Amino acid sequence: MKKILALVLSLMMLCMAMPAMADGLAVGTYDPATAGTVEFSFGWWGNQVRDEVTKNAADYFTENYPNITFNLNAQSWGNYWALMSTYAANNDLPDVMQQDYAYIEQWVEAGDLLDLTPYVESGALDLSTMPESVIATGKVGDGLYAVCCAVNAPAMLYNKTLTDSLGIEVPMNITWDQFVEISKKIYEETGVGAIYGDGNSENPLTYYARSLGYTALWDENGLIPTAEEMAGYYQRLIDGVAEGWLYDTDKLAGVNTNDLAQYPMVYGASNEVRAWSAMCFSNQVAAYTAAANADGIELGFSTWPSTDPVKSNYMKPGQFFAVTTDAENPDLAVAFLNYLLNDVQGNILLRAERGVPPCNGTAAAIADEVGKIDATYPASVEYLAFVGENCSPIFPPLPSYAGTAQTEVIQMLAEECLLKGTSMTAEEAGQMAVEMIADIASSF
Amino acid sequence: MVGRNKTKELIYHLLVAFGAIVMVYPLLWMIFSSFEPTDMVLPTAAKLLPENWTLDNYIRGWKGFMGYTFGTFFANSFFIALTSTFGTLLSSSFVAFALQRLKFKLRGVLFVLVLSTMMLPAQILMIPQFMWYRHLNWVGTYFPMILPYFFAIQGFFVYLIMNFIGGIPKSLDEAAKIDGCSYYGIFFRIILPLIVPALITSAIFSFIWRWDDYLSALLYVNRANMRPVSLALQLFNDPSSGSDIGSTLAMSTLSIVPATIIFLIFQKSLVEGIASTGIKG
Amino acid sequence: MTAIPATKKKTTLGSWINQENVAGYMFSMPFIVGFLMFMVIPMGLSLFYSFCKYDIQNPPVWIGLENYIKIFTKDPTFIKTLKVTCYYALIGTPLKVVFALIVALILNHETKAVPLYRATYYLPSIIGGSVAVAILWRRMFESTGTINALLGKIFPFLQSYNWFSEGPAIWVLIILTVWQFGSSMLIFLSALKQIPRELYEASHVDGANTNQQFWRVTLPLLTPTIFFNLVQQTINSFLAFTQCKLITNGDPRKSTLFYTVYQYQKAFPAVGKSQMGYASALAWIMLVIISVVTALLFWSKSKWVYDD
Repeated sequence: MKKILALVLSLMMLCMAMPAMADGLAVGTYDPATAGTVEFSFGWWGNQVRDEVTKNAADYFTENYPNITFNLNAQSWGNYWALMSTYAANNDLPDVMQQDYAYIEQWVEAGDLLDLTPYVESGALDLSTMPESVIATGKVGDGLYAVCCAVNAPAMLYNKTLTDSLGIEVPMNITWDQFVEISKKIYEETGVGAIYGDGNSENPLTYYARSLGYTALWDENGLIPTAEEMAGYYQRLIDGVAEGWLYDTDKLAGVNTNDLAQYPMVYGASNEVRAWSAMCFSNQVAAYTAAANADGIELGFSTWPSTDPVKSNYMKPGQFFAVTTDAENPDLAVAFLNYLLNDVQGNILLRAERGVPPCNGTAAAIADEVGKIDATYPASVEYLAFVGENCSPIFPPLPSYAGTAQTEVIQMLAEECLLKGTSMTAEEAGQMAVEMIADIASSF
Repeated sequence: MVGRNKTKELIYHLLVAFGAIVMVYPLLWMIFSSFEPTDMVLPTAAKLLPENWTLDNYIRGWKGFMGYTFGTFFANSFFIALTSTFGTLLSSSFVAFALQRLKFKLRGVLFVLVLSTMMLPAQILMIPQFMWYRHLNWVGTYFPMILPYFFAIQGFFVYLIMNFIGGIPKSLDEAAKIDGCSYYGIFFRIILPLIVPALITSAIFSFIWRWDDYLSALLYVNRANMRPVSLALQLFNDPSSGSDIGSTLAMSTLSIVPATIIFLIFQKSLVEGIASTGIKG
Repeated sequence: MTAIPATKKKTTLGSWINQENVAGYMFSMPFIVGFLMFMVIPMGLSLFYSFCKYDIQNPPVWIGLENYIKIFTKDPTFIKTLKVTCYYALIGTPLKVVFALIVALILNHETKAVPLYRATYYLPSIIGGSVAVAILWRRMFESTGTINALLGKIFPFLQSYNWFSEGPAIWVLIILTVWQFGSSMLIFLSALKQIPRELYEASHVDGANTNQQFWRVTLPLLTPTIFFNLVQQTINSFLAFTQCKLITNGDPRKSTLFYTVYQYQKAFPAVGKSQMGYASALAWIMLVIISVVTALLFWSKSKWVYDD
């Protein structure tokens, strides 16, 4: 375990190469002894397991800071960003908020995040054991606006109980053709389908673009792949639905793909509303496993299907924590941030649920304890080590129009292409994707 | 002949009773399933009565989430619904009195405006009001969910109370006026005591509508400890809290208890209230 | 009040405030203030923003009619949500009103059990708007939910029917609104009670049977009530929000996306930037639509509503 962990940590440095930082102002350190009672707010998105561990960690923090009352704001991913932007508009953001690699830049541009550089220099925020390349993922320009709290990677989880019973071996670095073949076989023998490209996120498309040799799906001007290349992706969806094994738009509406615990891989009364796998991230394995265990299912790990897995795979600086400009007491917020990153007991309570902690010291110190509490942890560390050796550098943060393009174009095209008997051809979809997204990009 | 009539009567009752059961079946299913072990709810979805009765769903559900029990959420809902209802009753009866009994220049215009608010409910004002309340720094507070109701913004209630005042003999006011009573005295001493039935009807509707108000809570409440039941319930059923169907149904059942109790107690005045607003097209 | 000249000794503050005209404004004051504060100002503000590009986080930028032009020429979702909302309103409302009328006619019957029946049929309307019912509805119509489990016993092909696929999904919402026909039913019941008995007796003497009585006496006299219900329910269905947001959230392929929810999604998207200006323009268009629909209904009133 320790050896693999060391490997993962060293791979982090290699996989996330970026530029260096500048200097800033002098700032204070929070001293609980001199402070009065404070209300302190902390917001994140997550799932049941994360909510629980995060609350425990926050409670533990108050043992040293008894004058703090926490105002915890846990949301689902779907609600989180909409809510946070309303709070931002009202200058009422939580003191510390969870951030995503893709969105940090936009939030910095809007002036909602605090530059942490001065706190690193004053020593209030200790990043001494965090690899420089990981620290850099939280930088925008010269400032450090968010700190990576976990590393994970895209992972395909699958119902191993089912595949074993059918005598199917699911390889690591699974190719698209292998994925189709397995999905077809499972569908023919049991009626259990597969979910892919459902339009809830652009991640599968990014993966696809990377398999073609591009680093990212889009840049400031629009999509990077050509219309013909995009058509190749949409052809996958159209073919899958035509062959029956892929969940179509109607079938997706009848199941709950937003809720881990109700995801068709781990929930469903009949095979028609089941799926054999889920495209997710390695840190979600604990939550999925909890749901799967309730149903007597064992889960297996693989990478997302891709024609060129090593080009597609990436290590993701998982979640970030950022201090917002609405924080009434930035010193306290930084003290809390430092606790979340470096405190051993706190991180044991957090159970590495968000992913492997990027501070080497912390990761090593909690490995055994967390492995005892959460049986899935060693497996996910092992998985990360595998990805670390079979991956390409991550894509740059998303352009600011990405969210709008995702909801207005990518989701719409996925729904059209996944429609049973759709009248849309892959060529049309590819063409539309390129044109519509270029249009949105130019209007931002 | 008598026998035939009795058969007819029996068939009538059977049909109407069957219809009634169909109508409340979803609610009965929810109530009974909430007493069933959570993993048995879906497998026995066709059955109404649980095989094993349990209170576990209620115990688990009541714990709520993020350290706040449903007790907090219920208290919040009661606070919001009661204060905003109080405001509605007070302001609506003032305005209704003015529009029904007093002659002043803009009365006609105001009456039309009151009616127009009935066609302009919260959903269409959602975005405009949100931006205005943001200017007022009201987002994140209960103000948007309470204060507007102290300004008679729901024409429905003004209209309902107006109709009721219209049924009170004018001679009462005039007698009081001769005795030297001011308009304010007339309102507080004569009209107000007489419109209690209309106030009860209004109170019931207002309470239930405020209790169910999900949209405002979604827009304006951000702190976990300020959530009313409607919002808490939705989040409880959401990814972040898992999908424990048993406790979701248990808390859903609890959330409709206040409305149901009020309905059962005040059924008669509700029925009359509804009828009185709709008699005249 | 400071405007009262001190020299006019006859009009003291007390007597001034007790003039009927003044008292009228005093008593209407809550509404006047409320109407300005909570209707006029917000609508005015949103009219301004509807000509702006505004993402909440940055200051608004004036872009003239661009939002409106985009809505009418480049936004297929706008047309789609209008269609969905109209479909829901135009099918759901008449169904609900007809249902309410039929049940009211059946319950317009002198037996002791009627108050109990009336209460039972009315109960869904009381709690139908709650989040609890929305959650319940989603669960009931799931492929493994109560509806399929019960109907599957009679019609085996329904055992795993997907109610949330395109087509039936909107009906899940229509059934929910029709289920809440109770308040319309109560209004019909009280209107039925007010039809003078003599009219029936007279028509009976003229030789009309029960069926003819319904068409010649009951229905014409009920037309004002039918009209009232239609207006109220049509407006309500144009503005349905909670149920759509929680049960289908517009899926699949926006086939159940109500206008109000679309507006909400533009203002508060799950990912990406808020488009408040655009959402404001949508709100104003809805305001115009509602006004036109209401005006149309009132215009049609003279054609078919029996006026006494």
